[in-house]
Amino acid sequence: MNRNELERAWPAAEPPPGFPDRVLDRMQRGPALPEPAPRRVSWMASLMAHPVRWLAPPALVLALVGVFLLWLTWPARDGDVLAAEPRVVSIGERVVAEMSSGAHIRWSGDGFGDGSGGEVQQDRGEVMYRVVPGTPFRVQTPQGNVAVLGTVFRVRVVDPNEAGGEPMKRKWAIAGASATLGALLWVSVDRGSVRLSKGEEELVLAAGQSGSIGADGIPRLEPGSPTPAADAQVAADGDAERTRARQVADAVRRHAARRRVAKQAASVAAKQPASDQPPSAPMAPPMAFGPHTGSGGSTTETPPPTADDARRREYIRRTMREQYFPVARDCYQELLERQPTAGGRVVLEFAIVGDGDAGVVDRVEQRDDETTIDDPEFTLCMRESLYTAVFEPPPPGASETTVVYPVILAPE
Amino acid sequence: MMPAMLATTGHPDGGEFDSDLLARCQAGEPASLRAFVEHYQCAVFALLSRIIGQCPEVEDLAQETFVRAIGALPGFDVGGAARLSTWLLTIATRLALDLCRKRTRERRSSLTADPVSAATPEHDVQRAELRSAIASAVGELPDDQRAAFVLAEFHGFALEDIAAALQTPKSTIKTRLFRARAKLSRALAQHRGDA
Repeated sequence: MNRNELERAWPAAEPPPGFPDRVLDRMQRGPALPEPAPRRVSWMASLMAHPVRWLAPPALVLALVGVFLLWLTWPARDGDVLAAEPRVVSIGERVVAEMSSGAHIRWSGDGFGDGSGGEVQQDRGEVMYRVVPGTPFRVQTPQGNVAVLGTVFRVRVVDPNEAGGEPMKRKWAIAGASATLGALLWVSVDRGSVRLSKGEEELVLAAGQSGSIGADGIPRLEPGSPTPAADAQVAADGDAERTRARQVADAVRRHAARRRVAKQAASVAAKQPASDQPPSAPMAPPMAFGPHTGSGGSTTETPPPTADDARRREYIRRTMREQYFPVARDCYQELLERQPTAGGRVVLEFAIVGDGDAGVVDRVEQRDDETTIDDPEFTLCMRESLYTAVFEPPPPGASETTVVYPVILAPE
Repeated sequence: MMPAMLATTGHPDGGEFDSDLLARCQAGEPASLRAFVEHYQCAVFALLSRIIGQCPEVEDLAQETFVRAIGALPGFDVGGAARLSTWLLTIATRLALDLCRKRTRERRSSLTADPVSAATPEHDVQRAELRSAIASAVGELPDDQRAAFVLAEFHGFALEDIAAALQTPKSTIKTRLFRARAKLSRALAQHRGDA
């Protein structure tokens, strides 16, 4: 759909007749209606006439300070917060919730008021809770409950409609961590421990571990979470390691969301004429690819070339040009803003794995020995952008297709 | 994937405001100010109505946009990097998003699909259905996503201009545009499939 079609389909309001006149009238009316001039009365004469006014300013200041202090210390007994943007909410004196945009929580009861703890209902979005140790605290969600005893943990609730009702089958593995797609409730523990439960099923998560509840209602430890034996090692690694783990988990979720959108977009694009948007920088065709029949991508045996290879090679080249280059071009533009003469080669190796009737990108790696552009921000952008591309699934009998794709970039 | 769309300036004819007239506007000359409003009023109304929906507040916000812009015009740097249309539409965008945030707080939405009348001729019905599909799809977009999409597709804003207008990093804007386009593509594909 071009812009004219879009404008016809999405009409805009027209300016009504006389609009410029009304704007100019309003401009003229402003200065034409001055505020009434205050009576010129000497302040000293005024104070002398009303001695009690001497006390008014300090009394007002004291009252405002008192109200402010009361507001600061007043325990939040009840609350209902829908975060239109990221915000921090104090729940009583012993719990702080760092809400991501779109998160919704409610709480009520005396527990928060007297500092003994209480219960929060979180029906959507992502919230990190910081709870003073020793405070009984519980997060209720539609998909399950999280009970804690003083900790820092993050809860993400997914709307089943948003998740598309997909069963938990596909797993992501990025930078050594993984998260389960299709989880409706996801919990990550920074410090302390929590109990994740639904009905009779429950799972205790320690610091550094993540767990989830999917459509089947069973709490599961997220793949990649340290076991109790390894937990001591995680704790010993200190805050930096936990921060890194959280960043990785965040990246996993970002990628998951991005891939979900990309998959939906691609399924639509497949029904429409292909875009012929060219890249802004010369990019080379794929050098090599091949379907792998091993499970989990660990087997690298490549079958002999088939007659279908040329078609698949051309298909991957076209798909990269249509879906990846427009996004990668932005990565390169940002690099050029930092380094105006930057150019060279980035060699990416990635796997295409089957996901229903589509092939999605997994395990994007950069071949350091063949990549000549040394800018971590740029190469990260190039790798992450590749997750937006969606291909046809691997050929029958193959679990994945691995692709080595060199991209040559030069300023125009 | 939705193909890239043509970029335009704030004015429907694609032209920027005459620099001599702008200088006279900055001096407060009424006739030039009127020309300024007439030149950009269509773009401002289009932008506002697509972000907040076609409602009575559109004219209020359009007036507020021009009143603020005219008040700040003497300080506008003619030789600066920002184009006049970009600057003006940025004011309008921020006013529109302020209203959206206010609406969110009040928990009400003003973007509703146009009703389809069965009494109209067939092509009008189809067009109304398409309009309804688009309106429904854009109505479901978050306000910031919709604003980014409108600025990019209808007003030719560059990525950095959108980022500046929405006070958001460029990478976030890229994601918003990607998602908005994907959602509208889905809506259109579904409409075509139903038609």
